[in-house]
Amino acid sequence: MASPAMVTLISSDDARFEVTEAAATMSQTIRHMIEDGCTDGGIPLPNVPARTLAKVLEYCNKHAAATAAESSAAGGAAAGSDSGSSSSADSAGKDDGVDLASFDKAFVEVDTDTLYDLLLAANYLDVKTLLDLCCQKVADMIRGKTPEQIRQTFGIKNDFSPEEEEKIRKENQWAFE
Amino acid sequence: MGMVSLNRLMFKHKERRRRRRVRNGLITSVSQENESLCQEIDQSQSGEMSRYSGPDLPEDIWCHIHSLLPLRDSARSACVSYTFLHSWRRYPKLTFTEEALGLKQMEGQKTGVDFTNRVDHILKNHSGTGVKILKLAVPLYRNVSSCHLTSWLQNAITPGIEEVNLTLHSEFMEEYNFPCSILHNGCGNSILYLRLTYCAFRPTSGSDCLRSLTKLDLYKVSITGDELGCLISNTFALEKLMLGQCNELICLKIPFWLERLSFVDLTWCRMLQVIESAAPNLSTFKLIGDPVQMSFGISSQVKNLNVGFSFKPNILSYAITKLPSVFPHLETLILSSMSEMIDTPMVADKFLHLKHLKIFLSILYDSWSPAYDFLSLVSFLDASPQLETFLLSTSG
Repeated sequence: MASPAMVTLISSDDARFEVTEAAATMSQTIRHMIEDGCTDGGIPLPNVPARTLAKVLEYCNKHAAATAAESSAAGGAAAGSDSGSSSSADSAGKDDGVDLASFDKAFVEVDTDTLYDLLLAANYLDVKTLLDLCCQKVADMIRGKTPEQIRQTFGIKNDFSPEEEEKIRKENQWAFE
Repeated sequence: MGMVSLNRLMFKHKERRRRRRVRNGLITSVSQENESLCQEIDQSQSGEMSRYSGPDLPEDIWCHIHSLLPLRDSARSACVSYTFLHSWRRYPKLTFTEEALGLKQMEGQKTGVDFTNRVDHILKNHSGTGVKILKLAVPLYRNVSSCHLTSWLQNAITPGIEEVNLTLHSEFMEEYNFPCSILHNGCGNSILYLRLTYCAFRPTSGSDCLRSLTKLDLYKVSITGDELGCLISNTFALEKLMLGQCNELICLKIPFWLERLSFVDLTWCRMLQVIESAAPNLSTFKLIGDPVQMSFGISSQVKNLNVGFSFKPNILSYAITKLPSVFPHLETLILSSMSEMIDTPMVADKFLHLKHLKIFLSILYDSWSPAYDFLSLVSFLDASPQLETFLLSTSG
């Protein structure tokens, strides 16, 4: 089997990352650059520092590998007989699903600064599943909190005047009851 | 979206802040109120943006985060900052149930005034843009006026909406006449799923307003066969059709150009007499209620059929004599009988492809003839040469 195609990504602080094309193209932004032939000498990603890019690539490598394993398992099942081999492939697929879910859960157990960096990078690189994962994490952190707790958790400045805040609070009083 | 190409072109460090302004510039066109809010955001934050890494996320990320919150959490967090307020005003999944509105624990007042006030208040302050889902479940015992309902639908059903789910209870309010006009002018063409209950729905010919609809679910809806025909003649994307207790329906005709339609469920439509389907890929069909005249074309692809629960006797005799010719490609058949007065006959027509047969018998009171010979069920085995599983269940 041929070795997988590799691409080089260059972070904003000039660190170089060698990754498989399968992992890199989980980013639609990078996919488009590759399609446009903009890969000579590496792909510059001036909005993403090395620390964040390394983390994003950890996610992409894991998910790209899981996708590859899933499709080869599905291929194996299709090639095998109807009953025995397909059920074993099914259970393998399920294990991967559980494994991936726990990977995702652990992946976003980070401080809020890192979570923001991941959100911005996932948005810029257009990695939809990672963006969704990070957004869900933020949403889970907002749930059940008061406005003041939310501001504290995320370091958000209250940009309302006291009168404005009172008005908005009154408008949504039902949500506090 | 232009974002990707924008990102690819502008490899500059300050791009993020510029992008925020561009985005706000776009938002300003939405409404004057929002315009003033956005200007304030720019003014108040432009000098301090680098310090507050937190809020320095693009607005549409915050909107996406809010869409993952329950209604109440999103409303409560509107007090956090302008960005949060803005996200709340564009909240996309408007789910108005007693629980979502926090009314579940407030018993006592049963007039529906609190429900009406709350929904009215939220929708009046909503920008009307970005709504993907409108789910409105008027709680039992609570009365909501028709004019309120109509104004809510008008506020929320805007281009881009994908799901409309309206649960009413006719016992406690006058029958609501669903205003078909709000689906026109492009507002209905993004809807994928439409569910209506306890109302009148009267589409007219030329109702070309639900082009993306994949799932239509009507329960206790007053709609005639002609009106339903007007509607589905233009729903080319329709995959699932579910009609429950739609008692004005006498004749249901499904045209051949509904090529994606694969699932039809008709439950207790008491007046229904005739079903004619020419949909070429209809594979699952469920008819709960009395037997009707059925025509599915000679090339019917229906593979899964569920028939029964009629109060009329002899469903099994009906099934074994009529169904093999109407559904020549059946693979799974489920029959439910509540009364058999005559033995199940031996027949010449076969279920040539039938693999799985389930028969449920509800043996209630004296509706079951004591003379019925259960061994006559063997006729089904005789008529099903390819049968792999046979399940017989009785309850009384």
